[in-house]
Amino acid sequence: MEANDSFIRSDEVVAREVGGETVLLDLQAGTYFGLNETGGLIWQYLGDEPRKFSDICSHVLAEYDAPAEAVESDVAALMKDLIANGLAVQKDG
Amino acid sequence: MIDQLEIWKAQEQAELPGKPYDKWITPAGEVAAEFHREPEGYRIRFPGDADFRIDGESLAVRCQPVPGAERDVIETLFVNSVLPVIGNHSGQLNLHGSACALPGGAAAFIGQSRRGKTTLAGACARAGYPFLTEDVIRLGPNALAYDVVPVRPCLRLFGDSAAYLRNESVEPGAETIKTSLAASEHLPFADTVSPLRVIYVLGPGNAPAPSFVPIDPQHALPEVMQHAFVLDVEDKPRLQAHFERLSDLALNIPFVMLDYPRLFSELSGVVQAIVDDVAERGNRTNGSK
Repeated sequence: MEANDSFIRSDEVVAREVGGETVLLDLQAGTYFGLNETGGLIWQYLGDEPRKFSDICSHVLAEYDAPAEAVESDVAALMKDLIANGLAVQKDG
Repeated sequence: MIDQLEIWKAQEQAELPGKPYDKWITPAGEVAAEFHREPEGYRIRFPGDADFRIDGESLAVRCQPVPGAERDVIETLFVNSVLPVIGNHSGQLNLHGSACALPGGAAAFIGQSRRGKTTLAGACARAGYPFLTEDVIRLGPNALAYDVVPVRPCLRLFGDSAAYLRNESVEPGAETIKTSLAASEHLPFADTVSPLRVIYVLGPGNAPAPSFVPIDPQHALPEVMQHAFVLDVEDKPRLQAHFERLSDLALNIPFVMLDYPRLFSELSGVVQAIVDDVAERGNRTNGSK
């Protein structure tokens, strides 16, 4: 995943923080997903405007005291999962 | 409630143009209802029984039954299916399930088809705890939590459960035929709202004794979403609002997985265990104030 890769939430998903998790409902598939606290933080940050991979990582690093390499690896894994499940979309440029 | 419904002359169900945008499928794989869009709103078709046409603006409903459809069937479809989807479309909260009024407040029962929701509400009534509803849990928000609104003084259940509730012996084959039991002195119906204390999700019946396992809110939400009614699965703003209401419910009301052996001989013990569980929740709430 490259620093300038940009992502946006799918507009087919509704989300709500419930009991310490962020629960996502894919409206098209009717499928639920649960994100932990870090996943929820990233989901909130993704918002409705495209966010660069590097900005997402910086946002997480600002909240957690963790090595940058580990955060980049975790964010990349989560973004791949979100995209694979149709919950987020990679945007050009 | 049936007086809110305009019933037109009976007519055979002609094939409709286009595919339905949503369907309800029974556990046996049969189509229970089809949802179609129309220029003026929606049409819910219950194959072999009736079409209900809903005005998209006013949400007024008119029903076109098929020839020979029984009035009781029309009323049941209207009260237990059409009104709940319209209610949820309008911002209310209706769930598929049953409920009864216990000394500590209302207990609601949700779960997959044939998990025993109606039988359990009936067993509570048989033990002297009035049932509030047998198919639709209508929740009225109050200032602090949720009230369960009484819906219909009638239980629709399979013949073996009906025989148990009537204190009769079970006839062979009775478990395949659904019948209606009206509320009575022996099966009391609650005529006032009752504050909702807990929602039990009925398990498969594997437990050898009544078992109560709390469900976290984040897991209760997907569970309860399966038992809520939605008129328009493509209306995103309404779905988002519906999701928010169910999230609030999952955060504010305890959800508990309840499993017990599905034996009529065990039901009175199950009811007592539920009464004790609800009373204990009330004591905890009062003690925490």
